[in-house]
Amino acid sequence: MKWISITGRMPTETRMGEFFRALSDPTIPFVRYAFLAGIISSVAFGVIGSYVVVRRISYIAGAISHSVLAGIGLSLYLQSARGIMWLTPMVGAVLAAVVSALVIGLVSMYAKEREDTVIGAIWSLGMAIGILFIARTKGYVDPMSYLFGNVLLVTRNDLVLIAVLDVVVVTLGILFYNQLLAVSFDEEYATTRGVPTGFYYLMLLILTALAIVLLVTIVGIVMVIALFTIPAAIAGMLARRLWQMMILSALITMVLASSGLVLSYAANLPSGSMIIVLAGGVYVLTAAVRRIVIRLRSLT
Amino acid sequence: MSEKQVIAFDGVDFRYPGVPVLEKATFELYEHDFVSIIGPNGGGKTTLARLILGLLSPSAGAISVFGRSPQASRHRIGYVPQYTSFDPNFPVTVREVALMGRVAFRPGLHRKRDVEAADSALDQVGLSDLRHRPFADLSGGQRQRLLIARALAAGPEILLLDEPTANVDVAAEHQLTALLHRFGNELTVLLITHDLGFVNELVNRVVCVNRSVKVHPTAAVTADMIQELYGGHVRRVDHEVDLYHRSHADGNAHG
Repeated sequence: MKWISITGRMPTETRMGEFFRALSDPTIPFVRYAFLAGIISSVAFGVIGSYVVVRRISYIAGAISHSVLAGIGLSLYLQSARGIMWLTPMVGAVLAAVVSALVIGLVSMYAKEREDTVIGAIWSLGMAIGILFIARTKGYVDPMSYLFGNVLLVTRNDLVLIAVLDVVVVTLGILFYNQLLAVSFDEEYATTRGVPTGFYYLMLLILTALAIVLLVTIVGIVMVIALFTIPAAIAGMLARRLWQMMILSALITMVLASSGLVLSYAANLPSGSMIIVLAGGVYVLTAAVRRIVIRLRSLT
Repeated sequence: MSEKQVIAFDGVDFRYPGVPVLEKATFELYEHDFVSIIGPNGGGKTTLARLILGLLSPSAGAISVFGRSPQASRHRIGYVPQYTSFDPNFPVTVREVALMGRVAFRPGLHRKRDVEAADSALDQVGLSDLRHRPFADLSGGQRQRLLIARALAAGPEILLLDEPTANVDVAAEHQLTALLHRFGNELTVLLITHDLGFVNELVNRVVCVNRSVKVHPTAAVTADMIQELYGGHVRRVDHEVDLYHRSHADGNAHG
């Protein structure tokens, strides 16, 4: 499988330099697009990822991200079979993510079904629907690109959509900070204070859905959940307050996404996997260093 | 007791499908009552609290709080849950938790008077010096006092505490008792406890919950009543029954 093979077999250092030249090369805009997508969406990832981690709903974020394939498959099919061109995979992904967020939220609030069962069902059902539509789509579509990410798929329009979603997610996340904090800390108490906790739960799930879509193209459906939660988990080890965790998490995402891109370009390896492996490595390292520091402090 | 009625249950049933929890609960509580809600685990104490807060709706019967529905009145109740149900690593400071007592539907940042109310509540429970510390740094007793501060920050008329002395050490228990002594004069206090020793001279009314709900003035609490409530476990509470007798004597002396 070919990922980015423009650089061929140059020595790694040369290819790193090549990456920064590629950023300004008008003939290969996707490098710049991927880089910008990582930078812009990291803000939303920091804010929403932190809520997801402290609220402990990573598994819901996982289900939402996998259900995105249904939207991507549907939009690819409708584009090719019915010529509905505005329905790009990105738009389809947004729709699928929001719908599954609403379904999971409403089921967990009102239905008597076991929440984890519904989450598991949406997780696989979304992927199955996506694969069926892709199978019926004329021409060759490689599901691997969507599952594991492909920077070549980031378009200029996607960048605009990412920027818009970013603004929406961050604005709501900050505007309702106190409510979301109170609901995440103690939902029952927030209810007794007259906070409509169901409303904020659904809002958080929808914001999560939107944030997930931002980076699905680059890191892929399967791995986006890691980029969503790992930076927040690293930040959570260092921050004392939720907003500190958000800022730190955004910075970590930014650094991880861009350095992962540079490394993948230099090593000619898939960008999504590179970013995630890097994130996992930093997480393990931070946890280990933190342990050692705590141990040393307790000794003195 | 000629004070204003604040909570009234009228023939309230509550059941989960097939499982009756409370049956025909009818009682009234009055302003400035200091109520101890006692009963065995699983007897329905927490359900009673959740009904008062409007977090659950009765299967039958009617509940009124300050003459209105529990949902409409619950902002006047300061609810203090058990600290053990919280994620100890949640990234939040002591003051931020107290500020949650001021949270409402209104979006945006906290106003100055919200911060003042939170700080004054922290002062009342003796946590002012720790207000910038992370929640994770507090001991169990301090966390429990912080949750009381959060309830006080909202300026409640009723303080409803769910087992505040469970899982805290003896020193912290004494501190909590001292705190409640102070609030007993200004607020109506509802104290859920399975710790019968906590039924002390503060309490003027005891609500016994074991599927049925019975309310007694403290003076009327007898060994027979405890036996009826706890059934076979009565031997274990013999020692506490003595405490009741002592508090009855106090009650009689005042009455």
